[in-house]
Amino acid sequence: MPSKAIKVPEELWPRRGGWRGRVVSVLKKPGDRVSRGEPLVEVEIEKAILVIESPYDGVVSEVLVSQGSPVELGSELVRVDVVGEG
Amino acid sequence: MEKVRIRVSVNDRYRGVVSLVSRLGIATVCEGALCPNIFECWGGGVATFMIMGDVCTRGCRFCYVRKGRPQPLDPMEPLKVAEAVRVLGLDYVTITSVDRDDLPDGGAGHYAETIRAVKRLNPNVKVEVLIPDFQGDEDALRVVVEAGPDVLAHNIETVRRLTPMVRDWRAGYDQSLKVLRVAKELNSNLITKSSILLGFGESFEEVVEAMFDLRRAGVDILVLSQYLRPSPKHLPLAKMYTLEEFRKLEGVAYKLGFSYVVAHPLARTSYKAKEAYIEATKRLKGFES
Repeated sequence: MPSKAIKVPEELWPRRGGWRGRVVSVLKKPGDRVSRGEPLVEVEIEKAILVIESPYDGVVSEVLVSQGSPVELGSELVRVDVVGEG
Repeated sequence: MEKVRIRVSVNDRYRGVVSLVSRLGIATVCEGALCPNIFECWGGGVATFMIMGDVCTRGCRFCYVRKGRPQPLDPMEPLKVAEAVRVLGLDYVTITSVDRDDLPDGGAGHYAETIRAVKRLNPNVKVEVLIPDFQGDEDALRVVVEAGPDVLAHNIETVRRLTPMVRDWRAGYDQSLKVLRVAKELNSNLITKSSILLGFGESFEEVVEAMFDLRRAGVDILVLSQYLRPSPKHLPLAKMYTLEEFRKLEGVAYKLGFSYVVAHPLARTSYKAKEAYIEATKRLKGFES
């Protein structure tokens, strides 16, 4: 099973970067199964709380952030062993 | 106050919009204003274009669009926007802009060229423009109206009392009402539209007064939405409205005679603009018959 990093997507408001956020909650732990589209991490920015979804079906292998972690565009959040791809 | 939650979902259509607007070099208000609906709209292949650059000459204290000295106009931009509409296959497009107080006509001529270029390349498309106030210049407004947009939007943004705090000093509550009133006088068939952002500290009565003033200016479509502070440098949020409060204001708006009302915390002027246009048109036709 290939391992993939799930990041704060670079395509978020693609030409208007510069904002920072912090993790307010991590919704999965290592060993948890995740489905494509399932919420993984919530990131608070000034305007809102961004709910970052898993783009893959798989199993969480590593959680790279915790509550309060500062994040920005491209920050790695979680690693997932992807099922059905490879 | 609990912040709104936005699901970040990047699909292939979203990536297609990213690629298209980057390749053509055209700005979108979706990015410029950190719009919370970008995932829904771009994920469905719809974007709202922002012409005349991405730097605004005004400093409204709620808006995240960059402020400062704007770039020169791109004479190819009208064609680029027309091409983007064609590639995305849109049958309804909203075009807005930064304010260009540095230009003699405020950018009215560029708006007109863009409307015409979009319609020339996409004969069946409906065009909504969300325009600045052109400092109240009626000639500039006439240039835009005569280019034939299907909907003309101009936002009053807030209630009378809070206008000096919320908007740039060159904007004005009465000036914005005048823009909307004159646009309707120039073309009585033109559907007009305006938005009020809620959450700056306005009272219920003040919102009703603003809605009344908009109706008196002939406005057909009203958008009521929640202000979301985009950065710590912007105006603080005074209140998050509940869905019940939105429903109550929506009910008052319909009683005041608006043809269509979009009332939702995450509504923005161009959000579901096509649906609002279709519904407003139905009701206006029904009213005439």
